[in-house]
Amino acid sequence: MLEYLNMAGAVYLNDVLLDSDPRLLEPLTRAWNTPRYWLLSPPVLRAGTNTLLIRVSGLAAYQPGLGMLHVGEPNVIHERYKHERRLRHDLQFFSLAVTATLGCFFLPLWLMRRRETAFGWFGLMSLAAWCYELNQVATSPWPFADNHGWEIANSIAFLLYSASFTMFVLRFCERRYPRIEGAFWTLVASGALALVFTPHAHIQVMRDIMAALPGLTYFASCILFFTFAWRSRRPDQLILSLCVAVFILVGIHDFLVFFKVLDSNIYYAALTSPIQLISMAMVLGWRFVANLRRIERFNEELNLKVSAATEELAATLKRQHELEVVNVRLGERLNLAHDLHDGLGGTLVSSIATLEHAPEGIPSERFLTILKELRDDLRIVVDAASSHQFAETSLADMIAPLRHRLTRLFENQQIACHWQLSGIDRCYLAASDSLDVMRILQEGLTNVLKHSRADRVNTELVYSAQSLDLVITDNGIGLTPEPVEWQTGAGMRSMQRRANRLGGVFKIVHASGNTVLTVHIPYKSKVAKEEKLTS
Amino acid sequence: MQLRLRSILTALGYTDEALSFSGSIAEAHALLADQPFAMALIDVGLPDGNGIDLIRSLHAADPALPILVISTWSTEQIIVSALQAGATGYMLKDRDDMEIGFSIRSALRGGAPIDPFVAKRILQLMDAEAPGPAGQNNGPPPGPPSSPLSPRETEILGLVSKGLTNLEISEILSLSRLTVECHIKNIYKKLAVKSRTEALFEARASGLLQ
Repeated sequence: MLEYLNMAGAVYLNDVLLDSDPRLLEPLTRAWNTPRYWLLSPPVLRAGTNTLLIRVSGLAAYQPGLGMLHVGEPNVIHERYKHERRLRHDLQFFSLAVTATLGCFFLPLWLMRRRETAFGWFGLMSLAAWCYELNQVATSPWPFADNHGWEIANSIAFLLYSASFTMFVLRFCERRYPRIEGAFWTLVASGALALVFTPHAHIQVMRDIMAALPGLTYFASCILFFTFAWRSRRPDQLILSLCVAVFILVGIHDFLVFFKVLDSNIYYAALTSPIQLISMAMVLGWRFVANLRRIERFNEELNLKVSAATEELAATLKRQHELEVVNVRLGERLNLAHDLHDGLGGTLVSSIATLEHAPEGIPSERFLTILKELRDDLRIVVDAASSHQFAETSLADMIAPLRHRLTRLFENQQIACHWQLSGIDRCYLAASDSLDVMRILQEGLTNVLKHSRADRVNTELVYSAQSLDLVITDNGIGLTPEPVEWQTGAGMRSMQRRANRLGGVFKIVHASGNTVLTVHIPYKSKVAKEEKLTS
Repeated sequence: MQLRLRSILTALGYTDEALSFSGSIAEAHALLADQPFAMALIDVGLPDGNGIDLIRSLHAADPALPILVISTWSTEQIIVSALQAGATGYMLKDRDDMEIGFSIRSALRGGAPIDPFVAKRILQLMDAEAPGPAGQNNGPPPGPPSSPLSPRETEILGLVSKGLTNLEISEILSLSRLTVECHIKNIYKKLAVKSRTEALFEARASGLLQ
């Protein structure tokens, strides 16, 4: 049994051709890694000395030579042969298949997800490794014209493989050095070109250089990887660093074989691919699980964040609501203060003036009148405030309590009291304005009640697009300058004043047994604005 | 206020012997234990407790007794809760003597004084409620919201809230004035009943009653 012969050859026993490779001239058959086994049958063997001639056709540049020859018992030798064949042929095929698988898995992965550059480089590295390992099993220099081409291509594949590995290490450890990488790739490219353009005479030296340099780069990358991995202590990097440790051992061995330091020509590099496969599978598995965990955690975090945000929002809304309530209350209070000021203030001031300028000894009648007027003002303010459910109250709502009270008083005095209201449920006035309207109404009707001796009173309040009209008609005695109120004019004057404040016209006439009080308020800026706001 | 009421009531034709005054709930209870009365006037701002509770106990003792509430401040809250407790009417202290006398007389005649804003409040109370107590979806299927008030009662309340007096309402609806007053009293009763049933329901829900 012959372990190997490089590159091709023929074997003769006693001048009988035992075996020959298909091509013993360029392009040579690449049978360097094929162990051979012959069963020498008695007819071929002679008694005594047998001559075994082996012709080796090789290329000087590519380590031509002859491997170990074993002669012995067929079964023993056959076992050895089977072992050699497994090592040099079967295992290499298996390894090629694994490498191709890795390449075909990781390259598309990177294509589908460009951010995973580490896997992209790994895929490229796998493909380069595959090209380089093809050398172990290829039996012809195809697709190249001769073995030179093949060997150069093979060296370039090794170069590319080392470079990709370096890149993979960097990316896998999440490092980026754009400038250094650029320089590195320039070197790689120039190395490849040098290989292509080196004349035949120097190819061996070149090839050695091109094996040594990438090899050293490879080791450097491995060491780099160790430092990164131990620094980061990430499980996936630690897993891979174990695998890389195996690579280093194997790489050293293959290096020594290549430079003929070790007397063997078996390259183990190819056989490491299963280890690669297993470790990469573990890395991927670890990453997958880690990602799943992250997704789960992310969901939890998201839920927490969402609930936190919801609570915050609820709290904010509550605060806002509370603020609004406080604001509304404040507004109500301000309104009440305004109403008190507008309603009572005027009356108070004028009453004080009246009392100050009056001669000594005001009749208690008048004093009482003033006080009652104040009380009536206060009552309207209070009624308005207590029926204020919302900021906007229509005149109809405002008038209801007043109407009810006065009507009952009229009924009590046997005075028929009729109301004709139209459109006032659509009438929204500013608080002070509606207070004035109500005060005029109250004053007018109170006058009728107390002084007119009428038995019928008719109140009309019409709100139209142009104006607000108030008409109080009674069949009483009309304006006699008898009662105290008329002389002091407090009631009349206050009605007049309020009508003016509303921008309206106040008239009171007595004709054909009827006294008619009218207030006509055409729309000017103030009321019109209110109208716009509320329509 | 006692003096004022005394003069008003005297003007209505009551003698001093017919009037009993008490300045506190305790006194009132003592007086009530003594003799029957035709009518009670109760100020809700009593020094020793809540006038509303007194109304409740009076009403429980004799549902026919007219109870008028006197209030300083016309807050709906107080008036409505007094009505829910069983009062037949109320009046405000800041009204004219004439008006107060009028209210008292109408209450004695069996009338039921009512104010527009109270009417509005009752309407809100009665309407703004879901059919059936909350949390019982296995009961009868929810139909249209069943206000405890009859359509006529709702109509009357609506008119009152617009400011019409009982007399005016009776004219508009072509009813006798007594009928209107009767309706209003029924409304008050329903209000009281409603508040009682609500109290019962709540008591049951909170496990106070079995």
